[in-house]
Amino acid sequence: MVGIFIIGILMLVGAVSVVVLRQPVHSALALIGVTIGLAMLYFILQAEFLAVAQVIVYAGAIMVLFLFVVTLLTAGKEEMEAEDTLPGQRWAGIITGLVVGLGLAVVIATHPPAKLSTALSGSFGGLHDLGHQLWGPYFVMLAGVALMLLTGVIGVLVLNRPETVNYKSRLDLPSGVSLVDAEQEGKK
Amino acid sequence: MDVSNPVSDFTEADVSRNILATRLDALKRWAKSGSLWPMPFGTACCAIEFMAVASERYDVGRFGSEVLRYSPRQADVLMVLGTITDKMGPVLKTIYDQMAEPKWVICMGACATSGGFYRSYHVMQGIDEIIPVDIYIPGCPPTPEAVLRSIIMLEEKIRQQGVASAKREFAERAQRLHTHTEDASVTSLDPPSLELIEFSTRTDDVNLPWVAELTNRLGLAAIETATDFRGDFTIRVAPGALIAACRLLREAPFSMDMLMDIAGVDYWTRDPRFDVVYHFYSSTQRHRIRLKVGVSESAPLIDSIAGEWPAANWYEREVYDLYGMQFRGHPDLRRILTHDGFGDLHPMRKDYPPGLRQPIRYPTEAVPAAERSPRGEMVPLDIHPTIMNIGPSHPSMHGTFRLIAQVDGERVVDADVELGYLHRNFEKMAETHTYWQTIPYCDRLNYVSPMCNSVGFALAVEKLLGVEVPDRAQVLRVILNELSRVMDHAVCIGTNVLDLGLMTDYFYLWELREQIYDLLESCSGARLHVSYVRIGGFSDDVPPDFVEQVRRILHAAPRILKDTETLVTRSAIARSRMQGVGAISQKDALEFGFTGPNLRASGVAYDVRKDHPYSGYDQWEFEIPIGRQGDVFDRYLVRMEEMRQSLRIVGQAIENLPEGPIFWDDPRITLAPKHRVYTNIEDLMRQFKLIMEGIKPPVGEVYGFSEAANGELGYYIVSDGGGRPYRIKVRSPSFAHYQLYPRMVRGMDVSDVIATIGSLNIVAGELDR
Amino acid sequence: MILEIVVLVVKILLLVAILMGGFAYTMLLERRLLGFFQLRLGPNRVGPGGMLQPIADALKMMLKEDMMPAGADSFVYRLAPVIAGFAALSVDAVIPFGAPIHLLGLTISLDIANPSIGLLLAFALSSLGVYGIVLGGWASQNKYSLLGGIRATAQIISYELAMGLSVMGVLLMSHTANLEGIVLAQKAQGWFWLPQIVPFLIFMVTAIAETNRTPFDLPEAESELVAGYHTEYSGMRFALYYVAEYINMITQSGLIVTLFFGGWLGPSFLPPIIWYFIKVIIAIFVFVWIRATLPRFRYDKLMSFGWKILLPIAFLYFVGTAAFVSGVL
Repeated sequence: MVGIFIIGILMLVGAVSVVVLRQPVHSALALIGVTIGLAMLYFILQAEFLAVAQVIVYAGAIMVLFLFVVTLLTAGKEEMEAEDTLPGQRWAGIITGLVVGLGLAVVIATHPPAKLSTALSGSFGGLHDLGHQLWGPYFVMLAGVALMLLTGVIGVLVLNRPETVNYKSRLDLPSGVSLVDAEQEGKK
Repeated sequence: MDVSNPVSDFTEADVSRNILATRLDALKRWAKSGSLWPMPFGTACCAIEFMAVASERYDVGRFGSEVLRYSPRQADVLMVLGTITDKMGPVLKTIYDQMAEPKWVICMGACATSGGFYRSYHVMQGIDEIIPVDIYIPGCPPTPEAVLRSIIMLEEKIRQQGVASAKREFAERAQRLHTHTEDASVTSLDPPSLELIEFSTRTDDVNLPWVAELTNRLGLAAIETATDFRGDFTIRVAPGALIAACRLLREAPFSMDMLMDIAGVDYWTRDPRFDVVYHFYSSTQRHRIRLKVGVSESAPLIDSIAGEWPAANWYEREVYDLYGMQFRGHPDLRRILTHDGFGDLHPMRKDYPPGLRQPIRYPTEAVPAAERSPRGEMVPLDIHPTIMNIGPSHPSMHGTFRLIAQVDGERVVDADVELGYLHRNFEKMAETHTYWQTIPYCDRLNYVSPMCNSVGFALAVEKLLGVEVPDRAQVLRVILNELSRVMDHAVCIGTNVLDLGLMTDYFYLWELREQIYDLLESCSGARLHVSYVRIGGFSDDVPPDFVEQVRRILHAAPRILKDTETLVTRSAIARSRMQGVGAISQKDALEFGFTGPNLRASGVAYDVRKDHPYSGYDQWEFEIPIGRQGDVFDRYLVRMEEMRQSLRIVGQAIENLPEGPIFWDDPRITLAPKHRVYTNIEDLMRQFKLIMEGIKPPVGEVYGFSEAANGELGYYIVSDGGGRPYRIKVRSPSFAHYQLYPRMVRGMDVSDVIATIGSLNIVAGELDR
Repeated sequence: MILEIVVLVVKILLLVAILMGGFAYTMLLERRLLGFFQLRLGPNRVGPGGMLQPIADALKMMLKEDMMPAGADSFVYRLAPVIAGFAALSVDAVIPFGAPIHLLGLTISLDIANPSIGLLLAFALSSLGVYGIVLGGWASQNKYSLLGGIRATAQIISYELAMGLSVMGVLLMSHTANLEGIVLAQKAQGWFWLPQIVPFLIFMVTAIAETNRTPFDLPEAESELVAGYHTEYSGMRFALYYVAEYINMITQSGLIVTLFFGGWLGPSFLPPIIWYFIKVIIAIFVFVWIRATLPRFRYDKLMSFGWKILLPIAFLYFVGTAAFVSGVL
């Protein structure tokens, strides 16, 4: 119980940092902290597999891609003064956050945690149990999600098709094509 | 401790000898001395010898120093290997400043120690002008044993150095400021003899259809004079007709398709003062022509032919840099070899003192706010695509090349190169030395295969003199030349695959090189810079077991080449890195004056040995391999096959090695045998005259060329009849190859950029001269 | 309870000691072996037969000035090598070194933790290692470092998928994700490398990629990127990257041995733990051998090799194994 509170507080700090920090890489680091905190919560709840999956998928893959993009874009730049491209977005964000937070508080106040808890089976969150659940009652949803992801993958591939004309293809040609000629053509 | 000492005599040192801290300190010193990771700052010939130190015969790894760290942050000892020019100075200083303490500096070779025999306008006279040095290694280049000794000495120094002295040294080092010593020692230069001026403006009655053709097409006024000297045709054209003449040369009957070289010559007391000399070659007709244009001192203006001949771009930049000629219509007239400190001075002019260096600005800011783009303008660092400086101190840029690339991710969008980091003024040095004394300088042009350079130089001077060497010397030259070619190709392939990440094959190929070193050492006493060739023959005959030694190499080489086949040719990964990468079309190759293996890989079967046989190459059977695609893989295959063909030539030559003298007994050219010098007054006089005054060739100018390991190596020699060459211009194959490189890399990945430069085998010594 | 905690602490200390010593001597082994492959001798001067070389290297690195570039992001710059070191060390916690031993009436299993999903935990922890590389590369504010970091990201993301799929067959055959369970399953069914030969080869390849070694050493490709992501690191922080790299190699060797070569199993004339280490050393030898033999991939070839060759093959073999194990075939 104490662990949950400590981790919860750390996660809250992390979550706030994601928004507040100026340097995008620092924000991403904070977000990684949050995902790892979540994994720890799962671990405390005996959901070992979920915890590990959380780390592998979110911390190990998705956030790495985040960082990949962020490092590439922010390299060599000083901390950026955040420009308000959307006027008033900060206020909108704060108000939305407050409203959602208040709503959650109301829910927790009216339904204390004790009432929410349901009996957990002994192997909750374990490898076998989760597998049986996913491939049993929730198979349709699993298939649906898989299909959706597949669509996404194909979409990415289609959208990012390499341009047909690139430098490489020119150099790959056998010796007939001259660089000097190609350059002069380019100038014309 | 001495018991008889009274207690009161205890000094601080005695006390400190006994406490734990000093034991700890000894441990620290032991650790530091046992783990010296070098940062090789290799710029020239010494780097080649350092490669030998790292290789299997000497294996610096035994001392735990094989962990070469190219990042100065992680290195302990900065090994300065080779000549440091003023242009390179700021780079060296930056690298040194970037190293983490504790750091040491080993300075290898005469050049880095004192400038060596390059007392010239662009060479730093010892690196201790800018950085402190712990160990100096003498030699040019030092033997690998000397390098190992220096590491042992440094280890001893570290082990013996107490805390106090280390601290003191650190403080001294911090106080040390950059001291720039200007060596203004002026070697007096003679004005050109009247005879030379006459020669350079002479009209011979050259009965050549070309002259008539040119006169027909360009008008009588365009052709001023025409000369034929030792088979070299020179046509002097009027400045106004230059472009038209250059355009015309592409057409039949001239059908010139290669611009080999452009040289400037300073006739000092003549008007017009300068000549710009263009060397053309026709790969289809196999003939050469030389165009000359006079340029006056008061208005050093001349039309640029870069529009007509793209290869002229760099050659004209060089003439501008060294002689100050302005080329009208040149796309990019900047200095190319010397550093910016020269202002409006042009060092190859005859009135520029050979040793006068110009001050250079050293970096003061740790982080530059802007960098120079490939187009030359300054751009801030955070633009996109960003500028990436690859080199000059980069593991794959072989010490002295600098590629300024604009990269988008890993893809190079635009690129330019900066050269001249090893511009140690061969040509100026040659003008102040006799022909004989020039031979050691020649050795250091392409320091990967020194023999080829000096043989080429000797051939050129012999052409000027109109002599041929005896049969035995010719065959020996062929043998040593071909072995040098094998040696050069072995290093080229070895370093190329090393850059691709394959370490092992490099060591195997180096074993081949070591065996050839052994042979050269037994002939001349030196491993690398042999200085074995003399004008008119050799300095001395080969040792009695020469044939035996060569046979041993011939026996060992095929096995080593087979290992390379297995590791590289058959490796799918290596092939995927090499095939289709850095392809050069036949047209480009000819247009930019490619020669040697790089040209042949693009499918042109031009080889001086076949097309203009010299030294009796026509009596040996060998074939010229040519490639199809002109990519990195083809260049690799061509080099592999050339090594086999060279071994084939050596195999034939060694079995047919004639007996006889190794030089003609000619009092104008060669020294008499020592026993005669000591006993005979004529021969003593002959020795004295030749040593003090040197060989005196007739007035004239020749272009002597031979097939060096990288391609056609040409020496354009102007003689005024004196003991020192009036002008030598080296036509180096690497300069031509390198000019295309920045264009080739556009659109490549960084990895391919690395693979390509390795396959072109650019050697800084002959590139920057 | 207290005894158990004591045993645990002792085990942790022992493991760290073994790994640090293992790191040092793996490095020496590699340098000596590379020397022999290349007709050289390798380090043999510092200490008898060069045996003290790693000690000298480690001490020297500790004594080296710790530099940080002026433009670096100081927090991330300091954090990155720690992440790399932590990720490398922690994975070994779940790999069993030998059969459980009986001591003082206690059964002590030779691993620090033995979770039911040990294999997945190992994957999760090792997948964090890439942060050390990409963050170090980014925080140095050096273009070569950044390129190294970015290369590492793309490479590890691409190869982790194939790696994950390649061990699925082992999971299916042994019916457990517990590493001890996998070893015990091999006692019953025979070592898995033969039935899982294709996944084994894929795992071997991806393990090399995961440890950033030749031919997959693009993130620190010396001839291209000077020293890659750690170009700006010196002293102890650089040493941490070095440690991480070699410990990763030991870890991956341990995983290969555990998953495909029966872990500590072996004829009984030697104790199990010895068998385990013999196998690990053989695996390390193969790593070094490959480094001495192969050149480096190019970035795009590496990506297409991972996505277009390794991943489909791993997937197909996984489906095949599933069909076989479930009795469909």
